Amino acid sequence: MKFESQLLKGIAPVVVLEVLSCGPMYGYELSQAIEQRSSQILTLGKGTLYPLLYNLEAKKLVKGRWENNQSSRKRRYYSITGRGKDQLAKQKAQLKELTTGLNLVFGGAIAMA
Amino acid sequence: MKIKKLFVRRLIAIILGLCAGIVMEFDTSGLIFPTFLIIGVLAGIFVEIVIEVIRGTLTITREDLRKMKNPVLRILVATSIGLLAGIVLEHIAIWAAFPLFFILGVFAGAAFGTTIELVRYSRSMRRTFLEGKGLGMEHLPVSTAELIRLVIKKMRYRRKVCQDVQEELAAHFEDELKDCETDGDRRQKAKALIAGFGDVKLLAVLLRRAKKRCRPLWRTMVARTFQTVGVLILCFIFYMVWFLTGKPVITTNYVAELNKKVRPSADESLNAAPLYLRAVGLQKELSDDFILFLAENRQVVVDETFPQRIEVLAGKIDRVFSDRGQKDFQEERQGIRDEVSKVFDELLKKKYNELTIEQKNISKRWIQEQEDALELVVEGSRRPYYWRTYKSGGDNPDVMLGVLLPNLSDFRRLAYVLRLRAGLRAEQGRYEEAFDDMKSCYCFGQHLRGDKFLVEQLVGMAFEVISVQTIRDIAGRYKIDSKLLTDIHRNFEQIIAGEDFITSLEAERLFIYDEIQRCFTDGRFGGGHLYLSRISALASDYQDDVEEMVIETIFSPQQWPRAVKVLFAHPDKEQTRETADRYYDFWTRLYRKTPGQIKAEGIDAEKEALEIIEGNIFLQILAPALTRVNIIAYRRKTEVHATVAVLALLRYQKDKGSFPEDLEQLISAGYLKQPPDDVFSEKPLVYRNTEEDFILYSVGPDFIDDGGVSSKDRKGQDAPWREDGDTIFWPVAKLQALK
Repeated sequence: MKFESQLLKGIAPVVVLEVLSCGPMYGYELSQAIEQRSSQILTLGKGTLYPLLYNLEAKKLVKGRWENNQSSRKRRYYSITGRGKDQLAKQKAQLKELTTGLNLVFGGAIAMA
Repeated sequence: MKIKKLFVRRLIAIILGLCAGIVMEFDTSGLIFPTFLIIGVLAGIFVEIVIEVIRGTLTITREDLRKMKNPVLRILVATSIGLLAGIVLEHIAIWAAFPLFFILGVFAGAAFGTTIELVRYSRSMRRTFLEGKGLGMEHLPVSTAELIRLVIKKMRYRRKVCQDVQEELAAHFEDELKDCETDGDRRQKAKALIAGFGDVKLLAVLLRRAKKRCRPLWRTMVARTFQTVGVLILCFIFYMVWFLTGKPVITTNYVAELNKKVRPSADESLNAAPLYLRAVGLQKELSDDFILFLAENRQVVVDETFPQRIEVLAGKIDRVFSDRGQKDFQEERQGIRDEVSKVFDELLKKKYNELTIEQKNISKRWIQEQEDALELVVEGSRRPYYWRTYKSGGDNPDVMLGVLLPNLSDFRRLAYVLRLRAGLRAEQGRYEEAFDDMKSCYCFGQHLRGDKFLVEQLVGMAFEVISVQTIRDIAGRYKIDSKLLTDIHRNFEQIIAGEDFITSLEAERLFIYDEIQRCFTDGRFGGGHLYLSRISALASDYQDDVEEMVIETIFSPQQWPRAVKVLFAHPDKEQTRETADRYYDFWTRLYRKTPGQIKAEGIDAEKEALEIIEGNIFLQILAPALTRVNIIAYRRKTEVHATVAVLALLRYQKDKGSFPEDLEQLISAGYLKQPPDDVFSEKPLVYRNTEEDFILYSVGPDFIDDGGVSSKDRKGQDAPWREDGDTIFWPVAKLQALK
């Protein structure tokens, strides 16, 4: 599904942080994981994913490091930092509140969907 | 990598050579600048090349050296071009800024060459990088690899970062394509991926922006610093272009304005100047006979003034002038004549009654030789006006700075001879003629005052003082009858009637205006600031070695604020003119106050004047120091009024048989119109009847009444107008017994 860019912009960092909270991943792996966990609803293209990862890195919410994989090529793995975890917790709480609010507004329509 | 290291080493060698050159320049006081700098740089390169050749057998291939050769040569060529540009700038613009432009040229050339080489190097590395060598791009379909290259190219960021991003994107694409079994599938999927990739440029921008945010603070600061320096250099270059392109615009002929100001609306027949100039022309040079006569009487020509000098001269005179047939001595003769003139001038400066009998004999002979010239001066002094047409002695007749001042030293010599003649005539009992000579001398002095240059006015004041002092001397030493005293008294009162004794600064003001229009650029692009070319010409008039001065400025950090001020923060033309007006207005107002008034009002004239021109280097160089002028002017006024009072007192004594008890008695008896002011005490001069004689004095520049005790010079004689003691006008000092 194609989302409004502004809508995605707000949600994408939380999604990335949430997925990375499960363990370090490299870019492609991360995009695949998001697609799988969202049942192909959420997709982050390269044009969104990498600038987002670098921005999160700049904010010190994730940390990237190059790793040499013996079987394949060198990859850059991203992992969530302590600060990232705090941020994720905050944003998840906010999302929960938001969902509750939206459910009330839409009469439970969001929860049903 | 090897090349990079080699390049750094070479750069270090150049810098070390440059430092050595700077040290050498310091040792030689920069006299042969920039030779040592160039030698230093070349030596640095040479030594480094030698080291590299030795090292080259071990670590560097010939190919590496070949690659390095061209960049270094190119940097050297750029440096040389910069140096040439510097030489051209020095030559056409401002030699006074030497070697500023040499240095700027060399550094700009070297910086430009190095930058170009760095850019070339960076691009070549980038090309290698963009070709994807060693980054795993070779496993991707061509179209995908091209897309990644395009993104990285448009990203335009640090190579290392781009390399990381490229590698990451390549890995991502490779992962996307890894499930494709055939090449056809790979191409198809790659096509789909490219189609869904989005805007390449936007992605590149986002990536660059994100990566910039990732960089550490120190790197951001370094980047900002470089950017700031770059912007400053750019601004500096623009500023220098602006600074160097401006030219002054001459709008007013101030020489003509001055000529208009000094020229009264009177017929030429009333002008004394032609007669004075003819007198200067008639003033004879010291003839060979006179010089020989001086040599023979050398022991009496001078006393202690130039004893050794005159002995050496006498030896030369004997040798040169005794053999008149020798033409080869012509040049030497002129040199001797000039030297003797200087010694003889010292003799002329003495008062007649200070001379020995032998010196008087020499003077008599000299006075006889100058009779024609003196008569013209006397005739000129009877004319009511004096004006000359000022014009510059240089190529441009309208430049105030080049205005030739009208033979002031010749005038001074004529006044001295006139004084000697008055002394001689008085000694011969020809008192009336003696007084006439001094009246002429006074009028001669008056002619040089008015709206003329300050130096002319000062010479005029000196003539007036010479005149009144000699009148008092003659009146004090000889018995002058009442009628003659009355005549000279009345004549003198007429001469000084209406004289305001105020010093005019109008010519000086016009001079500054003229220099402002010549020293500041005007109109067009780059107008309003100091014009260095003219300033350097001016500085050469005030400083012997401008080059040394500039070098001193460059290598003396304490001078830098001054240089920076000249370049960046100096008041502009309009501000300078306004300041100059305030400066001259201040002095003009101050000149209306006597030293006594200035002291009473607590005015620190020098400090206040300096405060007005503070920060204006142009005016600090050119504006004259004017504090003493006012004191000199008012001293003269006091001398003149004291002399009038002395003549009145002598008349009174002749008529009444004794001196009055006080000055009021003298005024009420009709001998004096008003009491003589003491400009230092703001009261009348101090007068006391001392039975047979009287004393008349000023409290002098210390403003304290010392009871009529004068300061003494090293010979024990009265020294007037010293900082301590009073200045006594009467009785006249018994300087030397008449022989």
